[in-house]
Amino acid sequence: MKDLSRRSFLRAAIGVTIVGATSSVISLFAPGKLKAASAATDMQPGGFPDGYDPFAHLFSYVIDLKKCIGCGSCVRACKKENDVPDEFYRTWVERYQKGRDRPVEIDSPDGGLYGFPSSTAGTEGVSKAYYVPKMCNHCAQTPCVQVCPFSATYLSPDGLVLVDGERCMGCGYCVQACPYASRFLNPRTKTADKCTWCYHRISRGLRPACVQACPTGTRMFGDVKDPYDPVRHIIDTERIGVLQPQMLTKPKCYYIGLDKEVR
Amino acid sequence: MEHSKHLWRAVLILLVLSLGYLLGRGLLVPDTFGEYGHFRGANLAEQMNVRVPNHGIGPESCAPCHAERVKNIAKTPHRVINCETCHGPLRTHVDYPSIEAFMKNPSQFKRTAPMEIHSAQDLCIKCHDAQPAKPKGFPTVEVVQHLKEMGVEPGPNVCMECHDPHDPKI
Repeated sequence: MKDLSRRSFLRAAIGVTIVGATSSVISLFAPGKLKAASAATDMQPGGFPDGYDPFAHLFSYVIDLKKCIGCGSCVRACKKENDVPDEFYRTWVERYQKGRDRPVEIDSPDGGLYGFPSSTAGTEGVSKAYYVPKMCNHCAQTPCVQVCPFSATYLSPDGLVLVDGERCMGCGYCVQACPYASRFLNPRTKTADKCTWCYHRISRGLRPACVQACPTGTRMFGDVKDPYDPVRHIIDTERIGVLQPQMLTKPKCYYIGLDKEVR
Repeated sequence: MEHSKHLWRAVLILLVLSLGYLLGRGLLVPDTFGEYGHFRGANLAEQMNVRVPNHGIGPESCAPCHAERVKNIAKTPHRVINCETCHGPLRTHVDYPSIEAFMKNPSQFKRTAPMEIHSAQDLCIKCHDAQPAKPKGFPTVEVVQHLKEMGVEPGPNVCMECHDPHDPKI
């Protein structure tokens, strides 16, 4: 190697690069490389659950605020279903209290995990009060997906916003971008985390844990591609609102009986 | 073309750069990226299999072993509550490898641990405590006043002395 001239070294290096690059480019387009396991079987690792086609569904969520009793069953169910770390919430409940001569007061002790303490003291002059369950709105035009530098968070074919933990670097841009405060950095996984509408349940035809736990029918979950779905019917016929419509995020989480004070 | 050497040099540099780009891209972009959209396609299935569901499918998950209980509560106002809302997730009580297997044949799976049983008043209070934010028509109670009227000493299990959560008659 002692009389290796600069020129011959560069020639050799370029030759090696060209050969290597060409072979790798060819291997990229090799058949089967881009085909993932789509033939799903029952709980086959890496496959879809039996008979589930993400393109055949478009999920939506309806919350009827006239029914919510603030018991926090949804928050507890979510914690137990999804192993959410302490002091973080994928779904939480807020309490609003307002009167003519009282400014609006908002509280959410432990996200409503243990229900709400009795507010019989200090409710003088409250003319309007209600609970508001909140979670990820799974927006159709979502800021969190737009700001993610790694395409780790994305909009799935069935309308959910999900986080790919393998690609997420935990930079927290999406946490700041979300106008609904529904994202957090999971201290265990060190990645962004949030409500997934229990994707591991709904892809198996079950309801999300929070919907199943709700004792009053406040929370409803459905598929708007199904013409006979009650949730689709509510969206089509009832007067519904979304949180922060001025953000133009097009949430898929609709509220019945939304008050102007809810932020 | 006296100076064609320069041209060829430029072409070669461009070729090397573009091949380098393609090589880098091939190494950095995951296999299934772009399969369903601008994300790693394999993650969809990963998310669907992120864990075995802890909660069952509703009272139907409990009926195979607790048929009597499920049938009786269906006649009471508390029929609207899923059993796991007051107790605990099914999987803390019965172990199943997958929810599909459980749904096919619930009774074949063995009980692994006793189900949580809450008999504390804070369970009832979470729903039935009188607060201004409760919807109109929902049955609520001013706990302190109610206990005074009934002449009962406050205590952790005080509600259960008169009320049965599985049959909440007044």
